[in-house]
This record gives sequence, C-alpha cells and structure tokens, in this order.
Amino acid sequence: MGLSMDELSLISLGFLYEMMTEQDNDSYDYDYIADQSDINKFF
Amino acid sequence: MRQTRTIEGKPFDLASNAFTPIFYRQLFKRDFLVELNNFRALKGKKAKDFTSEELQLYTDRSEAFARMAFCMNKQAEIGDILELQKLTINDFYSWLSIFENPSVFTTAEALNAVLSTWTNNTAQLVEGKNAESREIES
Repeated sequence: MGLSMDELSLISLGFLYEMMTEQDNDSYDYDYIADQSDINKFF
Repeated sequence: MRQTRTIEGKPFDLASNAFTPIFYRQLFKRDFLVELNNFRALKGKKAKDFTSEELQLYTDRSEAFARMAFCMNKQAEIGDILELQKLTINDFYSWLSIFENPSVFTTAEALNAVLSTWTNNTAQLVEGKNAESREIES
C-alpha cells in the first residue's frame, strides 16, 4: 500500500484493514457503476 | 486509539495503532497477532485439558500481556517511531519493575486495559465485496 512506518503510527489497524478491503473492492464486478449523469441527478 | 487506564491504582496512557504489531516484533522478536490468537484458542478451555504447549502459553500469559502493555504505554508516552525503535528489552524489564505484583498482567484490570485498547484499534466498518476478501475477514 506504500505506507511508511510514520503513517502506520497515525492510523488504526482497523483503518489499515479497511484500506486493504477497499483496494480489493476496486476489482469487484459491480452491477451498476455511476457516471456523470447520476452525479448530476444527485445534486 | 489512545486511552488512560488504571493498573495497580496508577494511571497509564495506552496507545495502539497500525505500527503496534511492527514495534512489538522489532523489540521482542515475536508476533503480536499470533500471540493474541493463541490466547483466544485457550478461551473456554479448562486448564486440565491443556496440551503442554497450551500450558506453557497459559503460564507465560502475564509476561505476554506485560509486553503488549509496554508497547502501548511507550507508544502513548513517546509517540515518535525513531525514538521508540531505540528501546531495548532492558527498558521493558525496568518498566516492569515499577509494578508491585509480578503477575499484575493476569489481573482483570490489566487485561481489560490491554485488550480494550487493542480491540478499539481493530474496529472496522467496511466490508469486502469479493468472495476471497470475505473469507479473509471471517
């Protein structure tokens, strides 16, 4: 993940696990991926 | 995660973060997570059913929790990782000598102090979506 020792001392282990989980989620095949039109509708 | 807990009537600042297992390994040449998991394996088991390895683990638990508490206390007091990495085993034994009861780390207040600091450090909200990551989490 490219985190230094200093950076690890600033975050919890749970937060580190969450970053790893989210990194893994990037490869998930989502049924629907929002695009700009969805963002425009949201605002 | 940082908190102040009382051990033997004295307040101790304890801090735990993602660097804690690395610091523990560098100082004691032991694996923090493996040791904690070993203790979990003892949970609910009766002493008479312990294997010889488990009995040794049970006997050593006071020092193991003292090592964990030392790491957490020094992380709270010193913070700077370069300074932390200068600590030696002798610093641990000097720190341990401030306690009157040598097996203080088998008492409920000391165990709660260590485990609650650690548990708060590992709290997570995000769930894995891929099957493999769900297996790892479970």
